[in-house]
Amino acid sequence: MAKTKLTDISKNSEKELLQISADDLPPLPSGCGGGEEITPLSEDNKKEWEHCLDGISALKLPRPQNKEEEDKLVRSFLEGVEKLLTKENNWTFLLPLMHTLESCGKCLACSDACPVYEMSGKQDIYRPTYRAEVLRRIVKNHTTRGKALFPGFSEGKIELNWATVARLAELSFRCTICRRCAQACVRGVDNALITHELRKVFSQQMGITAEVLHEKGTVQQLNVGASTGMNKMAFLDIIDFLEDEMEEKLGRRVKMPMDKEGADILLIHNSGEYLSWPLNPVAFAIIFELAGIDYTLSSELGGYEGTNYGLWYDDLQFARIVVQQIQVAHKLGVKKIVVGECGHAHKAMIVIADRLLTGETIIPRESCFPLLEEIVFSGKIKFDPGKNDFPVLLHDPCNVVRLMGIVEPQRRILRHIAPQFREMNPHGVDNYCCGGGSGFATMSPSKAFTDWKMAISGRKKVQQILEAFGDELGPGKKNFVCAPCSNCKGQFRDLIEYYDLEKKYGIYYDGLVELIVNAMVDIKEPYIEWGGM
Amino acid sequence: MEYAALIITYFAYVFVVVVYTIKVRKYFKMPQSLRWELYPVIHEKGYKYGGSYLEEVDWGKKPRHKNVGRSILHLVAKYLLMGSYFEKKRSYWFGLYSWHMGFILIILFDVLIGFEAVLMKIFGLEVSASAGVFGQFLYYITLVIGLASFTLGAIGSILLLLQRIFDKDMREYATPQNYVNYIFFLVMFLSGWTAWIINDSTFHGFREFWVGVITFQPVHVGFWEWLHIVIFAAFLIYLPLTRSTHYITKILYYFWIKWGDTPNPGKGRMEARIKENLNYRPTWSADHYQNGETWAELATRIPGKEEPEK
Repeated sequence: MAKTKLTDISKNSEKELLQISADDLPPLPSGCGGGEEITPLSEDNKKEWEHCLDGISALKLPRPQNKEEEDKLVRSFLEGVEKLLTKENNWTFLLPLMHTLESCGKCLACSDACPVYEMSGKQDIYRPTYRAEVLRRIVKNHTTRGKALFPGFSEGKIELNWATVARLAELSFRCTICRRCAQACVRGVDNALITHELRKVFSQQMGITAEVLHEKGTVQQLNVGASTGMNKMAFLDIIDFLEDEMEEKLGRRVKMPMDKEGADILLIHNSGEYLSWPLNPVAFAIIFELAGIDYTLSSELGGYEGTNYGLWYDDLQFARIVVQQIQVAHKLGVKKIVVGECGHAHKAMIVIADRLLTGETIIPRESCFPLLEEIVFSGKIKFDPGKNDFPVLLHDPCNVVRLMGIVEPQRRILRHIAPQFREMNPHGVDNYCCGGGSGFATMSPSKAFTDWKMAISGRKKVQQILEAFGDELGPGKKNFVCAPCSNCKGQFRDLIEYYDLEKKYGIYYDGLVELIVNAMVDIKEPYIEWGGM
Repeated sequence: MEYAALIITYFAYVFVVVVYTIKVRKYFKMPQSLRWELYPVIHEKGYKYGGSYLEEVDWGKKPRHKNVGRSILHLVAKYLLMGSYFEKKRSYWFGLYSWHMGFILIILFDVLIGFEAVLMKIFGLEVSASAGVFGQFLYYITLVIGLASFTLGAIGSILLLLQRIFDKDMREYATPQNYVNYIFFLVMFLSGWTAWIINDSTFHGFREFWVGVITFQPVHVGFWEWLHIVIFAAFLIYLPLTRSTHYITKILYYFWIKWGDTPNPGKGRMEARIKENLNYRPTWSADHYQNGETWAELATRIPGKEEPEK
């Protein structure tokens, strides 16, 4: 395999730096997969979109028509990088960014921590340090504010041209920002933050980002109510429908309280749950009703969508969504917000938003997992763990676990209600990303990108799952991956289909609350619907 | 020659303090960041498995467990053992550990020599193999630390240099400065050895030189000893120009960012800093930013709507 040099990023924008071959990818256990080729872009798409990084397009970045256009974009990028170094424009992450730019020892110890790098067959361009080092050299060689005294001596050189910018744009969408590399770095260098900051330059300065994150993501959420495009009327219709459906399934009507002023809790789910995994919000409703929790859902703009795609690419869009969500809680007069099973909504609303809020706008925001644990062990609901007597494997969403330290509540629940609960290796804060992090689970801009996130970014997780279930695997078996995060579930859904994991190995997936309800003595029929998840 | 060594030593110490202060001050003046912690956070009760206070219901109403002492010990151990490198990249650890121990010990050696010079000048203490117990202790400990530093530093410099040359991945990421560092520091450590072998097997000349530093009097030392003094001063001057600031900024990063899980209380200094941040006026050029407005104004206005939402 030919080495790709750092300086290659600036060379010949007509040529792809890397062409991934199925032969490069590490084999998976249990005879899974093999021959995962990346579908090439069509000739029309190649003419239209930049693809000079690896032949894949995540951004559908239009190719400039002439040199003037290229130069203008390069200037705009450089202006953006300059702004990244100022407190007025980037007070949000200036300190960790500067530390990361100044402190890398170039030891490459972070490379092996990265599942994308490892499962791509160790392709140089996917190293956590590759994009970081390119940005570092740009800052030290080409900016006014960050220029080094002797950049060629202390940093190494890099040419800044359209090829560099176009490849960096795509490269910022080949990292799931799982921050496993940051955990591996002794000096505290955070290469995942570099991905985040690069995405910000492209979005905040140049208006370039993945359509599904911006136009169809945050913009739609702010204006319509949800990144799924679900407006208030549609949401209320779905709730009615779910209440009716569940009455049929359970033989009792479970009420999902709506816009109840003064409730103790405002429960916010990822709106994708209502559309793709409706058993999840219904399971919450069953558990909360039986436990006597005083809660409400909200049908207000900002009240029924927990996602915040701004977390992955744009500080302002992030802040706008936070403000909208917090306003709903204040309007309802609830005591706190509880976030449902959505990892990035957890991280966004509970942690990152924390230092955006001031004085009376602050309202307690908590994870659903400690509350669920409290309920499960309260004795208010009777469980028969025998109803969950099948292998259950817990996936740790990066945002909830490595980035928030919520590790044990979900495990204590599973140990209590799932007799065959088991762990992946590694797990907890050392877990591997599902491969759908940082927006990838929702992004399918091209078949090439979808193939990439299945064959490469999700490959490590498939390997882990197969190894953890081991001898339990086989057609007709029931192996359950508990993935308490909407984005992770989206990725699992696609991975299971891509690798045919359900049919060949009997691997299914769903959230935590579905397992809780499945184990309830009061729920007579199995709650989990095996097959077609 | 004696004056040159004296002057460069004064300059080196002033320079190193001033430049590090300027560099680190820059970090203290940076705005309050958003939270971006990474678990395990060592001061947390559940640090062994990476747990946080967010694992509790109503955590905001409960007293917080925060063991800062444990965090400090953890960082000290990181500095002294570099255990993470040992786990994650052992081939690199051997050279790096020797190298860093060389640095730590040579600075300790210098501090000890200076300390002994003060004791000699003020209290007339004798530091030698035939002195009293304390004088003997200082003599031998300085000897061991000095020689250990020269040895480990030289071994580390050579190992790292070889690794950068022969490991093709590390070579790709190496800069000219990396190679200059290894060679320059190797010369410094070897000059210490040479001074000990040729000029001064007791390091007494260094002590005498430092008595001169304290009293502003040039002192004659052997050539190799003089050379080591000058190279060490050059090392101190060069150090702040390398990535060595990470020794200090890493501490700030760990406490403020990686373990910076302090929740916003909505009052006090944090509140004031957040308000200051929200009053900055960004100049980003994308359409969804309207130039001239503050972060607070922008965040409460959804493009397309006329009035900011209250």
